[in-house]
Amino acid sequence: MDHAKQVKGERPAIDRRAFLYNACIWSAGAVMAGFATRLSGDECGFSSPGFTRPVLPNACIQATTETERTLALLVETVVPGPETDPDGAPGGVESCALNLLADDYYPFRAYAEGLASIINVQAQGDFGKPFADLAYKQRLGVLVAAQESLPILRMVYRAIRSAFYGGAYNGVGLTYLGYPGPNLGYRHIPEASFRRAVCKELTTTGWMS
Amino acid sequence: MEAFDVVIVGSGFGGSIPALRLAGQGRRVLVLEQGERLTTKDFPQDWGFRAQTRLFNAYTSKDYRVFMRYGKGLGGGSLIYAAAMLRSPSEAFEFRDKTGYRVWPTSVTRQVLDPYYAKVEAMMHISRASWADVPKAGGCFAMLLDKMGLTCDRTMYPIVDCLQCGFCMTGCPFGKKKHLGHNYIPQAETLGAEFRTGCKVHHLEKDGEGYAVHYADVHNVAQSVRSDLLILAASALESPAIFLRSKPYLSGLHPQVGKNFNQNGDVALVFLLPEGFPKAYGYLGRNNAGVITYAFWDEHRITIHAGAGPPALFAALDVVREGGRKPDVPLGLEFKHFLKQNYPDRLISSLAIGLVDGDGEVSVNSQGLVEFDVPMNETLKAYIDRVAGVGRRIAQETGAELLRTSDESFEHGDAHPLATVRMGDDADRAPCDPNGEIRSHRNIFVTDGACIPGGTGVNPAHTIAANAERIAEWITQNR
Repeated sequence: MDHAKQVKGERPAIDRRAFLYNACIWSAGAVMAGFATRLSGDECGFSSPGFTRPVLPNACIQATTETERTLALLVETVVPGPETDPDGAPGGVESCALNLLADDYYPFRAYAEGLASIINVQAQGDFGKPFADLAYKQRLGVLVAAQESLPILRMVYRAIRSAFYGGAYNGVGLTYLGYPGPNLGYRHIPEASFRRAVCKELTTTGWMS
Repeated sequence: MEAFDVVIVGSGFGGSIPALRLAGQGRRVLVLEQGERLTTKDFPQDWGFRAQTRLFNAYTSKDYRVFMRYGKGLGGGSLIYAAAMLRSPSEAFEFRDKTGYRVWPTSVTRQVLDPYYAKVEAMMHISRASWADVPKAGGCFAMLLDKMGLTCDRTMYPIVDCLQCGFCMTGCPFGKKKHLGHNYIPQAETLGAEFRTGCKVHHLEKDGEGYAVHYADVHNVAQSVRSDLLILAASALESPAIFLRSKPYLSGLHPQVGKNFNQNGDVALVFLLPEGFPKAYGYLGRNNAGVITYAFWDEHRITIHAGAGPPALFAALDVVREGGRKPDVPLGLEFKHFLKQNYPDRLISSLAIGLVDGDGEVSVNSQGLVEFDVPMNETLKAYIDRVAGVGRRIAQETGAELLRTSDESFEHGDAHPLATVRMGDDADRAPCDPNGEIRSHRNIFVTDGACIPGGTGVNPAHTIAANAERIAEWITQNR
């Protein structure tokens, strides 16, 4: 029996586990992958403390097909960019969230048509129009309604959010939030700690008996 | 077939500790680790998933509701733990489930574990954080408790001269957070233990008086080794999976393997600090933000750790406001503006940990891959409600606001899977005896989180480590 193949071997073409393994993220740590073919850790400076990941808008995939345009609108709705945000701040599209389609760690490409189709069906049912013809608030309503019937969509939304708020492909979202990213440590800056007891303690050891 | 005295699967706390103790006896020890041998320079300050796939495997439950992960890489979970090393309160060892069953063996108590905890503390240089080590987010959390007239304690860590960079859980890039690669593993190697990385164990097989371990090596080539004594320490997700894949080759496997899955009562609580409160600077400092409150332990059997948070945290949690306040969905403009307005100064995260029944189950699918399920039953619902009640009390009494962290209620699960091959007194309910030996197969021991029979009330790493020391000592004396 070739258990080596079973254990470490080929990734199934479309597999829920592979999808989730790669697409969902945990609270304090996990975010979406770097876009390895275009933005390796070394190239973006993230592998060395003290560097800031550069913004590389040119690395973003541009939507060219109908399906991709629908997904770009999905991204724009989950994290609105300058077209929707009155502040003109960047959003999911500018964070290259559409690069999920090209990331070989994710089956988004394989799911793309199905995903676009689900959203369009929901849009037609709710408003009688395709998703692309809806206003922002209508699109948001469609996404909220769609996840009620298909819980896995929450993972898709998380993946898109992670591109922006987690800085998966570039730093526009991190910059927007004021997150400095890699650093050499904050130990010596005043903001690092109150440097005094701020609460009474129950134990003298740090743990209960 | 290559033969060793002892083969150990996994190099986290459950694996590296017995490796050292058994190598110290002069036994020929092989440790198989599925991840890589990583050094400090391999830990990028990057929350991106691709960087982290070297550090852990992650899964969601069958209904996509619960997220779980376990560490990989030489040193296992110690590479990515937030490094709070706390002894479990005595009451955790006395916990009884809804049927009245005492999940911990009567012979394993806090008092019994204390000398083993001390051993680990000495090995890993564990000490209490000073108040200067407590980052602002932890300080703000402690201030909330102080405002309530409650207590909040500084936590114990194996961290020396922390630079407060905020990347403990992606592997400390400055080598300040001690992991097993700083202590147990090099000492075991000095004593002759061999650690092979990139080796993913598929199944076990009875082989004469011992066992064959079949694995895929770093080149993805099938290999086999044998030993008379076998220790499984591949995590509470992977250890049962190895057993379950071995069913055709290990007759009479205990039927409770994979059951009783317990997520240590982890529930994510996020607070919006009151207006005018000091700034939290959420991304500064150690990821476990320096303090824990035991103030709710006596009444609710819940502790709460303060946590710091990179923005990725708020991408991963479905953080929304309740009571009709916006954002009520974690999507769109209102959510974006809410984060912009409140991160990093007013949003602080925390992790509640408590005692709850383990009603989940780990299984393997037709491809032999791990699956798990944590049913949202009445017990779990009641527990989460209890935790949320504590969170709401903190909010109400301090002027803070508790945010919901998942679509249903509060995110639970995450990083502390336990009990899937648990030890216990009852031979029908617990696959392992109190010494960690699986009842159905002599000389196979389980020493990781899988054998910890129930919630630990605090981060479980220290208890897993102490229990591994205890079982290792028993093996050295009895086998």
